[in-house]
Amino acid sequence: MSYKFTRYGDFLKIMVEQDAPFKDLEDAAREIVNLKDLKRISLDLKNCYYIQSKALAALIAMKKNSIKIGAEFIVSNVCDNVYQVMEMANLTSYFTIEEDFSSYTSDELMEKFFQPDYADRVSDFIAGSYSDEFRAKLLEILEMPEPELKFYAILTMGKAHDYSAEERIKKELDSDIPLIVKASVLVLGWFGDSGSKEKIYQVLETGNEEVAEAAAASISLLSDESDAERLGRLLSSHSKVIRIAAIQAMTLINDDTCFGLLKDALDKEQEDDVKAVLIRAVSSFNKAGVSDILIKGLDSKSIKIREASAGGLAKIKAKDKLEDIISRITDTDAWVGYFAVKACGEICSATEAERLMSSYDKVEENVKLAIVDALGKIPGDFSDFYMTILDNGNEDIRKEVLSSLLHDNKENAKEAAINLFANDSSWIVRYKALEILEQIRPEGFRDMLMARLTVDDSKYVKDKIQAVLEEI
Amino acid sequence: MITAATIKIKDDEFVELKDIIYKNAAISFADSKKYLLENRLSKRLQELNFTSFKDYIYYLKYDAKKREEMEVLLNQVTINETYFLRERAQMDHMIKTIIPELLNSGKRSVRIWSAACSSGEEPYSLAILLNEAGLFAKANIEILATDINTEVLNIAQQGLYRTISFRGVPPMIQDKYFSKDGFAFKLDPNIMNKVKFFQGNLLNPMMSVKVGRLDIIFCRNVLIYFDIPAKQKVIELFHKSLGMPGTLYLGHSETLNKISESFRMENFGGGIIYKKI
Ligand SMILES: C[S@@+](CC[C@H](N)C(=O)[O-])C[C@H]1O[C@@H](n2cnc3c(N)ncnc32)[C@H](O)[C@@H]1O
Repeated sequence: MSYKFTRYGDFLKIMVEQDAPFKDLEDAAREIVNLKDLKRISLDLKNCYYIQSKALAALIAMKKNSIKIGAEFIVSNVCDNVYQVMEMANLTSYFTIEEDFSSYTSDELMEKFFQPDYADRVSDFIAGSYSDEFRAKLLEILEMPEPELKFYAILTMGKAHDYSAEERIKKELDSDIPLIVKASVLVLGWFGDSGSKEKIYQVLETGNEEVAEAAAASISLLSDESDAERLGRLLSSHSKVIRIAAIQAMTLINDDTCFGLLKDALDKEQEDDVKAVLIRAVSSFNKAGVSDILIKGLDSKSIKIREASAGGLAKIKAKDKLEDIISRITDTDAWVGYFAVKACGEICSATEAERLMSSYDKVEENVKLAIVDALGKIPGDFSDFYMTILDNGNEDIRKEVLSSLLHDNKENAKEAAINLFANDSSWIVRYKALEILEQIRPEGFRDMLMARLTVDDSKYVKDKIQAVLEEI
Repeated sequence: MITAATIKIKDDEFVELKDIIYKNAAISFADSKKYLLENRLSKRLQELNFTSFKDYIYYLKYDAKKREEMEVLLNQVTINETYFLRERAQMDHMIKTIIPELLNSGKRSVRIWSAACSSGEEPYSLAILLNEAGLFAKANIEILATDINTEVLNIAQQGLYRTISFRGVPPMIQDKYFSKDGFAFKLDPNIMNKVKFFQGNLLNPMMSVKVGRLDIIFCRNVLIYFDIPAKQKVIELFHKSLGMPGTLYLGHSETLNKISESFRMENFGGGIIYKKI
C-alpha cells in the first residue's frame, strides 16, 4: 500500500508515497466513506513530485467522499509539477490547496529558509511548534557561514522566545553582515534585553539602511524615560537614514516628550521626504494640536507633504477641522482631494454629504470614487444620487456605487446587484455584485449563480460562483 | 514583514491586484499566496499614506505616475531566488554538446539568451563556464540577459554577490572569479563584460525584436509562475526567436507537455532539453 491514514481526533492525514499507483489512491478514496466523526481530511502530496492525470480522478473521488461523510477535504504540500498537472485539468480552484509544514522533517524545513517565499512562514511554523530538536538544528545553523539561514534561525528563536539562546544571539550584534545584525537587534528587542540597548544605539548610529529600522523598533521596545531625549538629538543628524530611524522609534514610544520633539523637528527639517515622514509620525499621536499641524501641512509646496497631511487628517478623523477638510475636496492635487474625501467619510453627517455630491462633477476620477465610498459611510440614504451614476462608463464607479448602496439601502442594492451581476461588461463589477448578493441571498440566488456559471467569461467570477455554490 | 504592521488585503482587492499583476507580468498568484502580497506591499502602501489595498489599486489605475508605480509593484512581487551554477548539468551540456555542435557545423558566432536572469547568476555562470572551456576564443559568443525586475538587474550590473548566491559553487571557481568586497563578493569585470543586460517582460510583443535571432535560450524557473496561456505565448516567442538548430533549456520542474508541440524533448542523461522543430 502506498498510502497511510493517520488520525488526530477529527482530523485525518493521508500521506502518499512517491509514485503511488492511482489504483491505490482509488482504494484510499473508497476507504474514506467508511470513516466516522471526521471534520477535516488532508491528502498530503509532499512526497509526490509527479502525478498521473489518471490519479486526479481518485483525488476528485476523495473530495466527494469526504463531503459525503461531512468532512472538509484539503490537498496539502502540492509541488509545482503537480500543481501544473492540476492546472491543466482546471482543478486548482476545485481543490482547497494548503501548506502543511508539520509533514516535513526539521532538516527539510530549515532548507526552506533558502526560499524567500517560504522562509517567513516556515519560521513562524517552527516557532509555533518549537522543540528541542528544532532548537538544536537552529543552533547548528548559527555556526554555519550562511547569512540568510542565520537570519531566519535567529528570528525563529526570537519568535519562539527561546531565552536560552540570548547570549549566543548577542554575539551576533558584532557580525559584519548587516542582515545578521538586523536579526539579532530585533530579537534582543523582543527579549527585552536592556543590556544590549547601548549596542543597538551604536547600530542605529552607523546609518546603515538595512539595520536602522530594526534598531528603531528595538530601541522603542527597550526604552525608558531617557530615550526620548536621546533620540531627539538624532533628529538633527546629518544622515537621513538616522533621522528617519529616530522618527520611527519616537513614533513607537509615543509619549509627550517624543511628540514635542517631533513637532519641533518639523520646523527645522529641510528635506521634503523626511518632513513627510514626520507628518505621518505626528498624525499617529492622539494629541491636541495634531490637526492644526496637518492643516498647515496642506499648504506646503511639496506634494509629498500635502498628501501626507491629508492622509493624516483622514487617519485621525479630525472633526474639529471639518470645514478646512471639505474645502480641500477640490484641491489641485487629486490625492489631497482623495484623502480629504476619505476623512469626510469618517466625520461628516448627512448635511455635509450634499457638498460631497455637488463636488462630484468637478473632481478627478479617483476623487469621484472616494466620494461614492465616503457617502456609503455617512449615515443617510443617498440612493437617488447613486442611481444617477450607476450607468457610469467607469467600472470602478459602478463597483463603488454597489458597495455604498448596500450600506444605504438594501432593497436598491439587491436590485442593482442582480442586474449588474447578470449584465455588466466588467468582471470587477460582476464580482462585487456577487459579493453583495452573497450577503443578501435573494430568492432564486442559486439559479442566478448556475446561469452565470455557464456564461461568465471571467475566471475570477467563475471561481467565486463555484465557491459560493459550495457554501450554500 | 517584521518591523511594520501589515495591511490586510480583502478578497476582492486580492483578485483585482492579482489581475493587474497577471496583465503586466503574466505571473499568476494562487490564493494561498495572499500573504505574500500583504507582506511585500504593506510598507509601500504606508509610504503612500494608504490604509487599504483598494487605495493602492486606485493609485495604480488613476495616478499620473502609474507606470512608475507598476515598476515598483513588479519589483516587489517577483520571486527572484537564484544562485550560481544552478542546475549545472544543463549548462555543462550546452558547453560540451550544443556549442561544439554549432561550431562543427561552421557557425562562428553564437547567441545565448538568459530570459529571466534575476540578479545575473545564471548568465554569469554561463560566461564563467564558457571561459573555463576556452570557448570565447573559438567563437564570437554573445550572452543576452533580461528580466522584468529592474532592482535585480541593478544587482546584476554591479556584480556584487552575497554568500547565498554561491550554494554549491566549487571554491576553485569562487576564488578564481570573485574577489572579497566587504561582506560581499565582486565578480571579475572580464566576465561581467561578456553579458549584456536589459529590462524586458517576456510577454511584451516587442521582445522578439529586442533580442533578435538566437541559438540557445535558458528560461528556467519562471514559467512555473505563469498560467497555461501565458506559458504558450512565451514558448511561441522562443520558437520564433530561435534559429535552426535551436535549443531551449527549462527549469527541472517545467515542461512543454500540453503547452507546445513545436519543440522536441530530448533527455541528455543529466536533464531535459527542448530542440526547435
Ligand atoms: C526564480 S527567478 C529565476 C532566475 C534564474 N533563471 C534561475 O533559474 O535561477 C525568476 C525570475 O523571473 C522574473 N520574471 C517574472 N515574470 C517575468 C516576466 N513576465 N518577464 C520577464 N521576467 C520575469 C522575475 O523577476 C525573477 O527574477
